[in-house]
Amino acid sequence: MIDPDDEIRLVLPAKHQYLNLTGAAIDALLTRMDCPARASYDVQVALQEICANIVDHAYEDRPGGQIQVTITPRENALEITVRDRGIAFDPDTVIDPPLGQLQERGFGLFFARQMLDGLEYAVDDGENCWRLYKKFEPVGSEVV
Amino acid sequence: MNLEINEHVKRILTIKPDGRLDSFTAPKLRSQILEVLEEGTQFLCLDLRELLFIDSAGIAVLVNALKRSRQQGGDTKLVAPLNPEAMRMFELTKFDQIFDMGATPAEVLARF
Repeated sequence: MIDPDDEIRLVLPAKHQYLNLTGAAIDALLTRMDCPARASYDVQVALQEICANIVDHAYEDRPGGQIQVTITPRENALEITVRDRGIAFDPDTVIDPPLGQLQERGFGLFFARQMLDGLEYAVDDGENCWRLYKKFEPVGSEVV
Repeated sequence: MNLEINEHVKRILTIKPDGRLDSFTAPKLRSQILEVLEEGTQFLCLDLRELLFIDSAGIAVLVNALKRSRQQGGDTKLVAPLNPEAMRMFELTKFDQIFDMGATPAEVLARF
């Protein structure tokens, strides 16, 4: 049984080789929350994209950076905050890429926006702070 | 009457990544694809059946392979992921309509 509002915190070096740890943690936690595979995958992709964006852009040319991921189970939902001390970023300036074309870039934030119920960004106390929110219907709770 | 008979063989290379195709593993696949394209391979079949996870970096590698292979007169086709969530990434981006995708290698190879 997962206690709502418990906090799980991961601190990762801002390097691509460690980002799969976030997916493993999310998958393990959401399995115990009876979260459907689809919603769990959505969260894993969204978190991967936000963290990859931090590695590539916020910490571009700045070695030694860290990413702090705080995962908080809520009732039939998951809330995640991601903090870094890299270059500030304004997601509002990023428009969705054209779909159905041979476009390679720009899908990171698109996936995060598509797969979450809430995605917010703010600068807080000198840190970039992302808040990700995903609701789900637990497996077995469907009304027959 | 003389009959001139020629046999034309199309060389198709199959690459099968498995597990995660993400921001860490995508550069390895990109390098491998670039290497075979530079060696003269024109036709690529990327077998994604064992793919469990793909993010935007992974998608970008596949799109790049399609563009580059077409630029040199070839093509890149995909065997679709068996994992429905990985497949959904192609549907969300409408790349399922851009790529020629099939369910099995035999089906995809027959379409080259």
